[in-house]
Amino acid sequence: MLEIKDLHVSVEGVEILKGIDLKVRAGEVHAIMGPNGSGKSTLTRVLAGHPAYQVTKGSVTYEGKDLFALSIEERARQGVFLAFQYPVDIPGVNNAYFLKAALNEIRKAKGLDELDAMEFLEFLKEKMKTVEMDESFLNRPVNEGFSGGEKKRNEILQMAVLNPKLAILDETDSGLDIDALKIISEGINRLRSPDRSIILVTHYQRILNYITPDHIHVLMGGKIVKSGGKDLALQLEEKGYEWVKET
Amino acid sequence: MDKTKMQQYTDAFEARKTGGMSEPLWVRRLREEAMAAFVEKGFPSTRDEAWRHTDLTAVREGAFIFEHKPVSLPQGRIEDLKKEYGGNLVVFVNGRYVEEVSSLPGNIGVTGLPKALESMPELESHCGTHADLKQNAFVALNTAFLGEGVLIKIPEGQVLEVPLRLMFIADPAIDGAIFQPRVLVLAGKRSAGTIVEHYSSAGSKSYFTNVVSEIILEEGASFRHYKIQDESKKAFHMASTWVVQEKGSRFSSWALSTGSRLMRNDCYVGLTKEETSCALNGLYLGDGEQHLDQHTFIDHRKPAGKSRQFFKGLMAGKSRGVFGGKVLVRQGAVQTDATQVNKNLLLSDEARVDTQPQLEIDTDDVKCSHGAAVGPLQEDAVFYLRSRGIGERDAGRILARGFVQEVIDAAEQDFFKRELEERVSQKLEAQFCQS
Repeated sequence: MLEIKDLHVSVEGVEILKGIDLKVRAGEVHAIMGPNGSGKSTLTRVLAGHPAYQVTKGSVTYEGKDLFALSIEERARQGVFLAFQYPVDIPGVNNAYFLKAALNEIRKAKGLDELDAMEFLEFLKEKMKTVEMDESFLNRPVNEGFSGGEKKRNEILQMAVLNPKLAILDETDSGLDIDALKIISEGINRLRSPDRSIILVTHYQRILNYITPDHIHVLMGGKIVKSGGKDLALQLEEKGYEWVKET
Repeated sequence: MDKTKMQQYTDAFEARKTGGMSEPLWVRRLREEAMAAFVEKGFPSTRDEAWRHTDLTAVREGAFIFEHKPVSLPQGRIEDLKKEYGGNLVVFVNGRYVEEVSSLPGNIGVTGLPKALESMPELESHCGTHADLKQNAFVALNTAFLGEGVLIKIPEGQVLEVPLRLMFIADPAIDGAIFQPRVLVLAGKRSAGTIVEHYSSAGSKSYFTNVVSEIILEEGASFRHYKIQDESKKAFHMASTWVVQEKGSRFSSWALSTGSRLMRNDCYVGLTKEETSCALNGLYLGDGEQHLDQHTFIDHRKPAGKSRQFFKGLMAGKSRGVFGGKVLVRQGAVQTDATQVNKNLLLSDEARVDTQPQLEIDTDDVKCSHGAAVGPLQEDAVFYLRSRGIGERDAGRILARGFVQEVIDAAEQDFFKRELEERVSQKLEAQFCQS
C-alpha cells in the first residue's frame, strides 16, 4: 500500500525528517509513537501534501505510484485521508454541504455517480451514528465552535464518509476524555478492514488500549529508532522514550 | 476643477432654468444654493480625507449629458419585473419615475417628486436639510438638479406589508448620460416598512448615476432599507443615504454592491433622539478593475442609542475596495452601545482593500468597539478542503462563499436573504473565472 524510503523533509530550511523508512501493507495498522517535536506531525502532513514542507530526499510510493507526483486533492481522491491534529474551522460552510462536496469529488474520481442531497443525507445520518454524533452538527459550520472532542469526532466521521484506503490519524486521541476516546476508538476499529491501512500517530500509549496495532514504530529526532509489535507500547509506557535512546 | 469641465454643469443648470419649468420658490432657491456650493468646491480629490483612497479623475474629466429623451420599456419587461419581484414596484427608467408602469400599495403614498415638491410645501423642512450639500459635492450636484425621484410616505401607524422595490433601470441611448434621482421617505410615527433600492442596467452604454436618498423615521417607526447596486461595469455610481431617527425608532439596512466601474456608497445615520437603534450591513464584491468604496457615518447625539455595523468585502482580479466607517458619540450621548466590524478577503495578489474604522467618543459611560481585517484565503483552510478531495479552485470558492455567509445571515427577511444568496453566487462565479 505505502512504502516510504529514506524520506528527508525540511520546513523553512530546517530538516525535520532525517531518513524515514516505512512499509505499510494493506489491512495493517501501524502506530507511530514519539515525544513532542520528533517529526510525527510533519510526517503525516507531508504525506497529505501540505505545501509548507519540502521533500529534499527519498521517495514515497502509494499503490505503486509516486505519491509526491499527486496534488493534495488527487491524493485524497485516490484514497489517502489525514485526520488532522488541529482540524480547521471553516466559518459559514455547513458540515453537511462540505462533506457532500468532498464525497462527490471522490465518487467522481472513482467513476461513480454523485449522490443527490436526499441520498447523501440518508447515508450521512447512518455514518453519524457510528461516531455517536448528534444530527444538529449537520447544519453547523465546519468545526466552528466545536469542542476539542467534537472536532476529533468530526474527523472520524469524515473518514467514515470518505472511506479511504490509507487513513493517517494525527494525534486523534489528544485532548479527549475517556468516554470520547472510547467512542472514537470504536469508530476507528469499525473501519479496520483487509483492504484499508491505518497509520496511527500518537504521543501516548492510551489509545492503543482500544486499538491494537500490528506494528509500532518509535520516531525520535526525525528517524524511526525502534520498531516492534504491540508489546513495545507497554514497554514505552513503563520506561519512557529515554529508554529507547539508551538501548 | 477645470473650467471647461465645470462649464457643462453650469450650462445644464442654466438650460434648466430657462426651460420654463414651474417650481416653488423654495425649490428654486435650494437648487441655486446647491449649484453655488458645487461650483465653489467641485468634486473632491484624494487630498480630502474622506476620499483618500478613491480617485475621482474619471468623473472629474468626464463629459456628461443632462438631457435625454424618455425611453419606454417594452411591456414584456415590466411584466417580467412584476413576476420576479412581486407586487409593489416603483419603476425608474434612466433616472425618471415612470408612474404608468409602477404598481403601488394602497395604504402608503408614492408621489413623483415634481408633483410632490409643487403640492407639499412641508417638504421644505426635509428636502435638502438632511443631506449635506455643503460638505458633499455629489449631494450638491444632485440637489442643483432636483426634480426627478419619488416621495414615499407611510402614514402614522401604517404597516407596509409587502416590500416596495424601487427599480432603477439604466438604458441610455448614448454614452455619458447622467441620472440624478432622489428618494425621500417619510416614515410616520410607529409605522413600519421595507424598501429595496435596486440599480440595474439594460444596455451597454456608459452612464453616471448620482442618487441621494433621505429617510426620516418619526417616533417609534421601524424601517428597513435594502440596496442592490448591480449597475453596468461602465457606470459610475455615486450614492448617499441620509437617515434621521426620532425617539425609539429602529432602522436597519443591507447594501449589496456588485456592479459599476466606480462606486461610492455613503450611509449617514443621525440618532437624533433617545433610545434609537440602527444596524447597517453590507457586502461589496469586486472583480476586473472595479473600484467599490463603502463609507458610513453614525452620529450618536442622544443617550441610549445603539448602532451595529457589519460590512464585508470580497475582491478579485485587480479590483479595489475601500471601507471607511466613522462612529461619533457626542457629548451627553451616554449609554451608547456601538460596534463596527469590517472584514475583507482578497482573492488575488493584485486585489486591494483599504479599511479605515474611526471611533470618536466625547462622553463617558459608553460601550464601543470596532475591528477591521484584510487578508487572503487562509492557507490551512485551503489545505484542509483539498485534503478532502476538493479541487483548489472549488476550495477557494467554498471558503469565499462561507466568508460572506455570516453577513448574508444578518439580513432579517427571507425574501432578501434568498435574493442575496443568488446574486452573490452569480458574482462569485465571475470572480473565480478571473482569479
